[in-house]
Amino acid sequence: MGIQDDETLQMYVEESREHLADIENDLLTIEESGADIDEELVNKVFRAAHSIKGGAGFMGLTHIKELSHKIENVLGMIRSRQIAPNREIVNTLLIAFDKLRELISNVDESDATDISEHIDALTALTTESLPEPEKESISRKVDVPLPDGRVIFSIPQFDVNQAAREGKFIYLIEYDLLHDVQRQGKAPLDILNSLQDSGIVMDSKVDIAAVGELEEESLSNRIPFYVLLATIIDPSIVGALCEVDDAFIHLIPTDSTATQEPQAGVEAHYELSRSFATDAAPMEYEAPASVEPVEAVPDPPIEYSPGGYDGFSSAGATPEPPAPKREEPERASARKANAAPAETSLRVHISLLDTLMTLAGEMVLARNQLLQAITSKDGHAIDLSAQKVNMVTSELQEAIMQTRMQPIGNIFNKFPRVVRDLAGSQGKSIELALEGKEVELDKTIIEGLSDPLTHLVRNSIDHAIEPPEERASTGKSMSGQIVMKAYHEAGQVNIEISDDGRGIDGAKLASKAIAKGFITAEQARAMSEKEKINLIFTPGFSTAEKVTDISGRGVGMDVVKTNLDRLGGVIDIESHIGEGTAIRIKLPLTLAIIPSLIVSVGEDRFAIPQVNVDELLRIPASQVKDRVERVGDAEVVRLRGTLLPLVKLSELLGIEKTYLASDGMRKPDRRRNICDRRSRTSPLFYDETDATSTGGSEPNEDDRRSLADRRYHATSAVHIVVVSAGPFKYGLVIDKLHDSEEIVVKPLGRHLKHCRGYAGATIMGDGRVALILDVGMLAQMATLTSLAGSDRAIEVAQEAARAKSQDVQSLLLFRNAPDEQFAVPLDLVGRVEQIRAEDIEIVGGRRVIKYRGGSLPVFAIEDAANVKPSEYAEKLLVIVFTIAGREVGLLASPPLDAMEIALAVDPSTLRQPGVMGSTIIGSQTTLLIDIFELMEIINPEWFSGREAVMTSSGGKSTLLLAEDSDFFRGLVQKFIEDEGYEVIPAEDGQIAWERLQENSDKVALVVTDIEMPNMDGYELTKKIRADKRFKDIKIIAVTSLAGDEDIGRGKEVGVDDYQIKLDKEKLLESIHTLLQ
Amino acid sequence: MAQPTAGSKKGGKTFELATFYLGESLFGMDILHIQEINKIVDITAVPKAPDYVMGIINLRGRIVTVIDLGRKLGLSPTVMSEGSRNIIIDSKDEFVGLLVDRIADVASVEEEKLLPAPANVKGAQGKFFTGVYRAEHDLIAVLDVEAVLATDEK
Repeated sequence: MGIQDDETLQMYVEESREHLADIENDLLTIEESGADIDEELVNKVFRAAHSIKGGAGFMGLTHIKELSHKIENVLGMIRSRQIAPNREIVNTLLIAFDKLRELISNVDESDATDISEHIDALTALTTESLPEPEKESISRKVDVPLPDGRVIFSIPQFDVNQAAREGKFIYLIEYDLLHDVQRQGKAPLDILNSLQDSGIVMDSKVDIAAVGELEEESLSNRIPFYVLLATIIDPSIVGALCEVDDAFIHLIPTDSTATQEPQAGVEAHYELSRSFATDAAPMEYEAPASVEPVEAVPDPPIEYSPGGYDGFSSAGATPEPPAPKREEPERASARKANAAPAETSLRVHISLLDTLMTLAGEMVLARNQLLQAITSKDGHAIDLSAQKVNMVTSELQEAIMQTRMQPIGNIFNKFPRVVRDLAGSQGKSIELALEGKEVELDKTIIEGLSDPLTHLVRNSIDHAIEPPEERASTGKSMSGQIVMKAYHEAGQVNIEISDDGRGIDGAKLASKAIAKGFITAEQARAMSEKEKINLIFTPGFSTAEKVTDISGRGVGMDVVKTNLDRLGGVIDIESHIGEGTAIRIKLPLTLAIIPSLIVSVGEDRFAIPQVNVDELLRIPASQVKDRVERVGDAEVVRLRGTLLPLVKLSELLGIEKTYLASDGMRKPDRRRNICDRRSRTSPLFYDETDATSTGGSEPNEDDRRSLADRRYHATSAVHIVVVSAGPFKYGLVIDKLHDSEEIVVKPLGRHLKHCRGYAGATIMGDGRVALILDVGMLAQMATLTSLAGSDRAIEVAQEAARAKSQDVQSLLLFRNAPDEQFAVPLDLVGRVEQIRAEDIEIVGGRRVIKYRGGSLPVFAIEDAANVKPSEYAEKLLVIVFTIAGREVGLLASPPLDAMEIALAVDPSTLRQPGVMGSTIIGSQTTLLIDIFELMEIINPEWFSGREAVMTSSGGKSTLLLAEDSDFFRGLVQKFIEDEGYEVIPAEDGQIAWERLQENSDKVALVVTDIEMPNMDGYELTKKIRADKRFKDIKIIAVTSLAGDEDIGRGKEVGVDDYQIKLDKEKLLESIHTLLQ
Repeated sequence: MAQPTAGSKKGGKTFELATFYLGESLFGMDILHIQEINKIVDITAVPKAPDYVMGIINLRGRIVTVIDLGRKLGLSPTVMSEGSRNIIIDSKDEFVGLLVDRIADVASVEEEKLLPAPANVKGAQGKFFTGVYRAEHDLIAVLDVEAVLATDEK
């Protein structure tokens, strides 16, 4: 074929790829519906195959044409309900489409690829169901000549018969590529496409050979392009349809008796007035394979859609000889198959490109302004243009990131096939549900996700989902369920793979881990079920031996984790034996730029990806003794009743610590343990840790600080970054916290590849380099398990639990004016940011600051409450809350502190709008801010939406409120009543139980505190749940501290929802939802 | 620059050696390996790195590993001074810096005059060298750059 140019071919390839994109899933759906076919869908697949075939014929890609043709045949029979799509048929089709895809990816070598196997398989499908006599007609071909006798096409007789049966006319249309096509600004493919709307293109070809011969006779310079069209359109109007002079349209007789004779003469209905080609000698046609032996679709006339089908198929009776093999077709195709998946180009929406262009333009402008400002040394102008550069850069960054974003559907879509094939081979029945396919992620992440996800899904199929009989015997539905879900949460993408299979037996994993020497029996005893399950990620846990016998996944789960780590992902497993397993993966949107927390140890700065940072902890010197303890051979910190293992970064990395001695000399710091004061004997970490503590360290002893600093801060406060990575959650002890920054990740050189603990490096604003910490790796280096080990841990935990039974509330303390102390419940605080006074902009009459790429409205307490106004010092704090679904900032000034105290609140003396009461903290009267009330005063319109929802519940529902603290009871009762509910208060669980008996017909919902004297919340819940009368009552547990264990325990006894006492917004929301 | 074309088969093939000092010993390497030579900027230490790695620097937005050449060769660790220079090498698509005490001249060397390296060159292992060259006043040990930059561990 000479006329096709690269561009046309490229277009064809791209178009074909698009056609092929969804086919897999469509076929699977077709299989699912079985004999009850969805015609629309079959048509869709059919048309895809047909379009590919049509183009291939034109391009002279014989193998692609042949293969798509066979596929089309099978689909045609499915559509006409001659064969019902069963597993086997769909399998063959899937494989054939795979091959087709491969051929199209390597168009140039497609004709050298062996496709005979696929052809045979497809042919077998179609011939199986054929009646004997029909088979005969398959092998017979009919030549389709021009009126001058030249044979242009040779088509199967069956097709002619078929057309006749359907009352179609067959036309041989001669287009001229020059006059009819090119001059009219069309492409040959356009013509084929338009013809297909009104009939079936049986064959087409360009007759290059004709040109050469004609020249000699100095005839018109035509390049004939022949199309064989079967259509129901009458000969009298077909000319108008094709936009070709009638003289070039020849009607081919379709009388079936006439076609019995292979060389049937052609009866031209129209006078042949062509001015060329009197030569009757058959011409050389370069695509012999386009003339196909045929196998028939049997008798009952088939309804074809206008999309077109021509009934061609390879003959079972006379199988076509396999395509001539060229050199090493196998190898060529294998090589290409490997090379194919890596995409080198990316489709980007034009509008996005335009945006980029505009931004680039703005960038240039901003630069010019900046240069000019610098030249003229105009400070104000420099500020302005710097601001502009800043803004444009952020926008540019965002836009460029967008170009890299791809929907996760790109990899999700391959799973229906994986599940189907694997489940089938194991005799299991599994349904796969995909959700959130449109969620977008960076291209590199998408690519890197494919393997781990496949692994996880395979695991689910292999090990988790039971065979149907086993499922039936345990009362589950015969077919298993796997759900893959992607969704956005907190600036990250979550992917969840859950199944309803066997679940993972943590105990068995633990005993395995003990047997393998990863943990000690003692450690295992102290581990929670979840921690045991997460043992599966331990490297080397399940390499040699299969873990299948212990209901497990496990083969190579550590590899999955390593892969995800590389993507900055965090994986977590939750599993219940007999019920199923849910695997959650959290991923950053992109890898190139990540928000990070900058910390320092000694002189060195490090970046910790924000993904891994759970919270920051500063333990003042006075509390170090109480909160940092040694358990077994590890140091732990007590954090809200749980024990958190500590890892000292300086020690782990072997950073020599120095301190400024009184004589002004730097001396190595010899102290080793944070909790030195209590015990001076045992080493801080496990002996096997590879952290060589060269100089010993004392991160809390912040001696290098300037003296001015020391006056201000407690001298030996401990700074802890609570980090988590997969199963590990621990406190990283560092010296100093800096800011949170967006950093650009750069890889480390090869000499540092084996240096564990780093995820890369980044360049800071001052041009220096900082290392990015790999939190998961650090945990491994410290041979940290997520357990705190030993009986002592249990003891301490119990002790902590006892302490908790007093009503302890975590508060964040801050100031507004220097001499007035305020507090808000810590659980309501999203973040605390440090800003400078000039960062506050006043836009549209509101104060806002730039925050994580957006604007954050900020308010001061004095906006609503009658307190001393802030003095707006140079450095300010912004406490970020999420209220009514938005983030707002509350201005505050340092010092900032967090504290857990048993609250004794005075709800009356200092009560005013926005202030719920006062308490004494650290011998100072402290006002407790009611952040919801405060925001409601400032922005009443934010809350109107919710209130409307609330009142729509109609009538006055009655709630029972069990709460021992007068303060909280009063507070919660008030705001629930404000919403239009009736509240029956109770001072403890026992009283609540009595009140409930008295009002058994009224109470619709119980809000209960957990820790109460006489009868606690769990007990109360159990009692209510055990009583049939109260089966419709909903129960919300409220607590000042919501830990995972509490929630778990609450759910166990039958609590419907769990809320934090002072999170008014959420509590009301929950009440409302439950009452609906 | 080297003139590889001039009578390259027999005799006459010359190349240029960039020479530098580690302590008082003179070393050289093919100048074509060298991307640039910089003054020492802020080096960020990498804890737990192999001992011959000084740290990493920011070279116009790229992270470059800086290697203490003296230490790598088994000589004494380099002491930073005014004369210290960082020779940036482009090796396997990556820039690596070699820290040296002082930069000296560029010497034009005829390949055939290059003598095989003995087992011990100026106190360093012979495996790091392609040969030695006798210059007017001194013996230049010619570094095998790839051998020097090979990573120890697998």
